[in-house]
Amino acid sequence: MKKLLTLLLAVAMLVTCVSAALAEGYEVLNGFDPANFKSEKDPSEFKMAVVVKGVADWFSRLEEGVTEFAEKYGVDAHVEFPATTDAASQLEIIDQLKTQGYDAIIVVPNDSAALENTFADAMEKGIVVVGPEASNLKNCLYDTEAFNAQTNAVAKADALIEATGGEGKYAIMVGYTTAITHMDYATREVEYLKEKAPGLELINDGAIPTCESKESTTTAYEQAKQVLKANPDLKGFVCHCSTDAAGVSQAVEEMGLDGQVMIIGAGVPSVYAEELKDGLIYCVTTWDPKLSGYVACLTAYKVLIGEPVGDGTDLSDGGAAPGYEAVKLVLDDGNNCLLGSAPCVATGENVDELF
Amino acid sequence: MATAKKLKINSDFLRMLVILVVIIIAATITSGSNFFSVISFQTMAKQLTEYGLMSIALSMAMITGGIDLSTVYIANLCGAIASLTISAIAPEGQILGIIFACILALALGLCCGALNGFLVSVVGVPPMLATLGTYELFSGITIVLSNGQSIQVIPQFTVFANVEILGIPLPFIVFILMAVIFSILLGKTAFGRRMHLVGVNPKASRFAGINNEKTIIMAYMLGGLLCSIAGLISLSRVSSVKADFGSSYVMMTILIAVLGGCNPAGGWGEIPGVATAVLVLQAISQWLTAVPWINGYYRQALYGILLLGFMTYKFYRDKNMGRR
Repeated sequence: MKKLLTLLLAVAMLVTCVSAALAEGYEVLNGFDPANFKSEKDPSEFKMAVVVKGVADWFSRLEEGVTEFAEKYGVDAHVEFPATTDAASQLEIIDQLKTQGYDAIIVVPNDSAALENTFADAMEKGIVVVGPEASNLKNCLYDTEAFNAQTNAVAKADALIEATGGEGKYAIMVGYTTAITHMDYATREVEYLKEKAPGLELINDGAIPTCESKESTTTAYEQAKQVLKANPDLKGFVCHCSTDAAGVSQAVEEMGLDGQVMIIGAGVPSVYAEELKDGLIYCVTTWDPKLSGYVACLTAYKVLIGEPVGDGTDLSDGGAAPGYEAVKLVLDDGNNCLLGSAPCVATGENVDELF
Repeated sequence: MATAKKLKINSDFLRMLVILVVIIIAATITSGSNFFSVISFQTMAKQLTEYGLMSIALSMAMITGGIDLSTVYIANLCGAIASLTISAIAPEGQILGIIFACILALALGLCCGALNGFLVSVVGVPPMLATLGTYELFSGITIVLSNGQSIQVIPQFTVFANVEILGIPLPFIVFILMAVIFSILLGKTAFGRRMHLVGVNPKASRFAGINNEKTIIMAYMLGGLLCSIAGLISLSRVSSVKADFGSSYVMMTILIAVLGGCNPAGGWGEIPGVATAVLVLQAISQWLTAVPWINGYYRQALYGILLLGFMTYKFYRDKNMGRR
């Protein structure tokens, strides 16, 4: 037995030694020039695949955008749904797609770090890589994003002004005080509101945030109840975590304050369809994954036909993707981000047309 | 045939081989060059190594009558340790440092396996619970080491997974090598026979003078070693490691082991069948991606049907044969 074990170890070590000896500095780089990715093929022969994180409503909505694009441009573009949200499933599918003659691979990464290697290789092979919602992916030509923090904060703040008429007390709820994006949004909203609507007053002497939901509907409900008890004259409640509005609206309804407290939610609109129609929740801010999918495909398409994409490019495609009329190019540590201005505000009136 | 008998090349292996050929033919017919190309086979060969090695590890546990749910997490822990060690002592890719890190990772794999074996055999915790516990433990340690983030490895280390010998990716050669070694180990040696006997009937094996504890610990240790090799290959292929990378492999390895002919109740199972089942699953996965009209929604369901169908068939057959 010892002999066998020694043998096994020896073999494993040998293999490792061989590999180490072969090391010649394989570099993962992001120095790719989009101009080199122009395809000689006729656009109708382009093959594009969109790899999403997993099976979810969000990505079914994204698929609508991809299908719309494919039909409009007559290219072969479809969505691949990994069976699990494991980064390994995504990597497996991408590796397989690379062997099947795709011109562009578009990905919403689960774990960017796990994909850098395979995408560096894909781009060396001349495959266009675009990542919507991929702000930390380096080995892609472009990362397309719906908006930046300021655009989102302004959308929420404007909704609050509209709902309350710019007067009264309001509260802010975030998932965690350690959630960087939530806190960033909240801070920007308060700044903006101070300037735009001085009549609105953040309770607790302007402490940001008023409370934390810990990403739990139950906690959101309990916290909201306490806030409402202490401030029965509250006019607005701004939520940031996708589940917050459910808890807050329950508390508001139970205390009979519906109609008085305006809730600005976040998340997937269809989840809140009923509350939105009843007016219990004033609106839900988000971005539309359908447009994300459409714009990402369009970006890859433009690169393939050799049309330059960059600061100020119109990716709205004549109204197909409103909000992307003039994208901003933001370079962030190897990530080339194309930033749109496409926040999506869902209300009782438009919720049925959304996702 | 004599060699075949010696290596215990049995009906499970042959059946899997037939299924593999059928799938390859079917896939080639339905998706043509998307499936049947050199680059496609190279990709398959590269992808299957990690869960292939883990499947062999799991099969070893299954043959002794247990199960190993911690395989993926042993691999990630070993990968994380290797990556951190390399960054610490060989940031420029010094070969000695890399070798040391690899040996450290392999030794750690053996230790993780030994812990599993100890809990199962000496302490007597049911294997499913014991390895579920160590699964949490190992992934927890990896999370602490990495702060829950991905750990990047130096670029030099990623060469390993990209080396090809005569067009065959090196990781696949490692997989074949390990499959052959473990086929011989389980099919031909006294240790292999002891493992099977412990799985069939631990009481009988004890009366036969076999040290059950030692056999089980050895089986899990070798499994741990295989997992650590898988972890190193994964680290090299992906260039990073994360505590939960490959979590979907846990179920996949169980499916492979059962398809490959291992009896979940212990005692039966040979490595050639398992290794071929790895190829079958990889071919199915590649096929599903090559046919755009079958989308990922069906993947999971298909695996489920495969597992249930095969088990039903097998238990029915075994009952008729008077086995169990």
